[in-house]
Amino acid sequence: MATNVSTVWEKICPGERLEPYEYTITQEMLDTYRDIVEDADAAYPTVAGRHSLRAWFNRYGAATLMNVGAESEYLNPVVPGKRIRVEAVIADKYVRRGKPYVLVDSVATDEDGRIIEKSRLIGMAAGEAELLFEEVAKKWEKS
Amino acid sequence: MGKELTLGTCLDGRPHAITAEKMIAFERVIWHRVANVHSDPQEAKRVGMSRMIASGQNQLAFLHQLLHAHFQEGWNHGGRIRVRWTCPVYVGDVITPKATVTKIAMDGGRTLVELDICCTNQSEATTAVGTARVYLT
Repeated sequence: MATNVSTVWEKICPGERLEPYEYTITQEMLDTYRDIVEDADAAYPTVAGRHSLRAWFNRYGAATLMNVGAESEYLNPVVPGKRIRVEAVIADKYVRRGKPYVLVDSVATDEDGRIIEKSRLIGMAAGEAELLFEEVAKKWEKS
Repeated sequence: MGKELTLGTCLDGRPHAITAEKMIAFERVIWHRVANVHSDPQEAKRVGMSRMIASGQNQLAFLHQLLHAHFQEGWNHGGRIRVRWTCPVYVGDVITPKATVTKIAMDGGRTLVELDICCTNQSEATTAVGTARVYLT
């Protein structure tokens, strides 16, 4: 189903809390992640978890936001097998150079109350009646 | 910690070859979401791209490795990063993370190090750029 991203962007309100969710990273997942990124000591497989983006997608659906940047603080490495709870909020929205942007902040805490990481997604929504990546693709692939 | 740090010290990470297998695996290992431009060539074409692109988070993982290798627990307990993706990364590219020390200062009794960070591809094009900060342990 096509999503009118512009409508989504217009509808969202800074301060809106997104539905929290929980998941678990197993030792097998951590080992696989370390192999994929070629880092035997990687402590934050949550990098591939994209907490803020996932919270956004759970609410507004896939392919409604393009990740253009990230800001994160890493506080305690993931302990495999522990449940992780992610709480996220829409921190801001703004227009820059005619493009609609959204900031989504998330905090991930494990079942022992350890804060794993705090992350901010900088996302760009597409313009009206455009496919999400089309304009960026054209720009990139001309260069 | 790795080498002695002074202003201007450059930390070079090792190059990472981008393969379709690893791009797709990265998309699935923690959050196995629907097919997207990072995991499915057809989906990439559907949205106007000629081929799949690696996710920005994939580059972030390479920067993590670089910073962790040099700062160890200081990075794992309090490291901060800000990064923007500036250029697409494709299968066949080779991505190298880099960092340059821009500030060393005492902060609350601890040594704070700030860095400019980036990733470059095999053509020396910058594919990600940002900053990081970490306290030495």
